[in-house]
Amino acid sequence: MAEARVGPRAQAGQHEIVEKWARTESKTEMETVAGWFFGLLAVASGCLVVWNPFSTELVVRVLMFAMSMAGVAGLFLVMGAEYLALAQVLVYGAAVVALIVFAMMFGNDAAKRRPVPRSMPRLVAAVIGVALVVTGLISALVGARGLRPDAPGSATAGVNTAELGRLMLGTWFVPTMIVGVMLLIGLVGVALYCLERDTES
Amino acid sequence: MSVFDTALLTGIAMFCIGLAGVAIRRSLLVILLALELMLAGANLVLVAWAGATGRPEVQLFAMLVFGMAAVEIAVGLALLIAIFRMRGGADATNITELKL
Repeated sequence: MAEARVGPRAQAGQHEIVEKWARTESKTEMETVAGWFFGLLAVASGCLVVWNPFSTELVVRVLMFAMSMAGVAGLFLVMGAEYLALAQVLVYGAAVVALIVFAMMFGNDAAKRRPVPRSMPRLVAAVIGVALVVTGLISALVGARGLRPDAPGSATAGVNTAELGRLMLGTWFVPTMIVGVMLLIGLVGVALYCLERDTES
Repeated sequence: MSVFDTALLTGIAMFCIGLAGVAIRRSLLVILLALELMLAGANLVLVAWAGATGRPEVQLFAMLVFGMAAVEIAVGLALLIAIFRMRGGADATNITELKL
C-alpha cells in the first residue's frame, strides 16, 4: 500500500540514492584492494632491500628500494594525498635512487665485480615489470572510476592539495623555510667537505 | 578494514623492517636504505593519521620529513664515499674510531 502512494519523482529519487550508495560501496572496495596491493608491494620490496635471497648485488637492493617507495606513493594516492605521492615519486623514486646509483658508481671498483648469473637479473626485471604494469593498471582504473580524494563518497575526502599549499605558505611558512634552509646548508656542507678532500688529495 | 588501517599497518611494518636492517646489516649503503625505509614508514603513519582525522597540517609534517630525508641521504652518501675512499670498503664493523 505504501509503495502505491509513492509518486514517480520520489521513485526516481530513491533510485538515485541507491545508485549513489552502490557507487560509494564500489569506490570503497576499490580503495581497499588498491591499498592492500600497494601496501604489500611496499612491504615485500622493503623486505628484499634488507634480506635478498635472490641477489647480493647492491643495484638490485636499490631497485627494490625504488619499488618500495613506489608502493608508498601508491598508498599516498589512495589515501588522497596526491601532492605527497608526486613528491614521493620525485624525491625517493627518482632523485634519491639516482644519487645512490651515482654513489655506487664512485664507490664500486668495476674490476672487482663478480660475474652475475644471467637468469637472476631477468627474473628481477620480470618482477619489476609486472609490478609496474599492475601499478599502472590500478592507477588507470583509479583515475577512470573517479576515485579522487575530493569525490563525494570517497573514504579519503577531507585533505586537499590547495589547503596543504595554503598551510605551507601561511601558518606553517616559517617551519617550511627552516627545513628548506637546512637542506641548503646540508648540501653546501657536503660540497665543501668534498672540495676539502679533493684539495688534500 | 579501511585504507587508513592498511597504511598504518604498512607503515609499522616498514619501520620495523628498516630498524632490523639498521641493526643487522653491515654495509653502510644498505643501512642508509634501511633508514630511508624507516622514514617512509613514519611518513605513511603520519599521512594515514592526517587522512583519518582530516587534518591537513599533519600532511605538512610529512612534507618536512621529505626535506629532512633529502638532507640525510646527501650527507650520508658523501660520508659513505669518503669512508670508501679512505678504507677501500664500506663495512660498518670496521669503523671503530668513536668506540669507547
